[in-house]
Amino acid sequence: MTAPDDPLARLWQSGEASLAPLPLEEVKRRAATFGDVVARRNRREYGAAAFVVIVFALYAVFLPGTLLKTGSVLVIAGALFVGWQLARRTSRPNPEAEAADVRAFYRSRLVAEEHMLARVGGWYIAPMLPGLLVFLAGTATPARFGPIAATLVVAVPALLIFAGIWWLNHRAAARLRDQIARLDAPTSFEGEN
Amino acid sequence: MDECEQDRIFSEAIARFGPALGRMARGYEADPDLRRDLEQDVQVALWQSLARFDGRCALSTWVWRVAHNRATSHMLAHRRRNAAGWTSLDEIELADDAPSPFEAAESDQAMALILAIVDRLDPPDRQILLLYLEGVAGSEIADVTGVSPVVVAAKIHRFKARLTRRFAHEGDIA
Repeated sequence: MTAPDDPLARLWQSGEASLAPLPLEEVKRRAATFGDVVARRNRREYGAAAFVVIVFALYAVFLPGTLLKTGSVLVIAGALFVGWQLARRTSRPNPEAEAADVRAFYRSRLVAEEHMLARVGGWYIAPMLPGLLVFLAGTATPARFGPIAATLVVAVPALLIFAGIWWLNHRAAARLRDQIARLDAPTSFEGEN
Repeated sequence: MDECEQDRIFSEAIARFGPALGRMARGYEADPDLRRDLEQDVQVALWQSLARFDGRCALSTWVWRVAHNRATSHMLAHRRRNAAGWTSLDEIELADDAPSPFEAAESDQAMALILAIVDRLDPPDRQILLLYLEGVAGSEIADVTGVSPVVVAAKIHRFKARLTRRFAHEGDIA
């Protein structure tokens, strides 16, 4: 289709971009440790989970009151669950899938990400919510307001934050569904030629 | 396939397609540091994939699939930085006063204009366009991308028409 003397192709191929070849031994070394790439990519998320676990472990030990201690333990459990889900759900390089045609590969990536975002309420928000609410109830109890009113005062902002996270993720999932639908739709080019 | 054969085919692939893979990486990533990471990731992915290469498709088809798939993963991983501007070829409009690459062929603006279009395309159209720019035949582009040859031909036709409107008026390119 593209003739060797195609001016656009000639122009493109006259560009200065070039590949710096990796030594074969380096390629093999990186291939052997490819799981590290995923770990590196998720380091920030795992770091945040570790921070939460450490802080709430200290709370569980040193803070007084059953609500604060129970809430802290539940938050730790929730953070560990979210970290496990993140590791399980994060798409990682798959050399076998990468030999598929690029449309199929791209679609599978979009579908996987759409599933992850659309279900964020189940695997991200729900596990964290009970612990945080119990912990917030624990912090509100000694306040000068009644425990229920105080709990609402501190819980409402947290609930709004979670609602925002849920909304943003569902909006992103809807965009991905649009992209998937566009990939699946018969193209207007069919029959043009 | 034993590892010696895998190494041999990998070396052959890099020798044959190295410059093209470098240009492909530029078509996916403008940042030089991130582009170097992508180039290295592509080489690792290619070597890994060749353990399962059985010759049922051309080596070029295999190389393009693995490279574009890894580049697509890179694109998705950096989506927050770029995605707002992605669009399909159908939706790209060039300003009427923008020079065609041919009008700007003797200036540094020529490649910049093509890259500006490539950088705005979503993965499916970007793959087709980059393969076309590498001179890959339409039938092989269809094999690599998984879309029909009719769609490939139409996309390329539309791309050329948009880039070369005024040039085409003069009858120099069809």
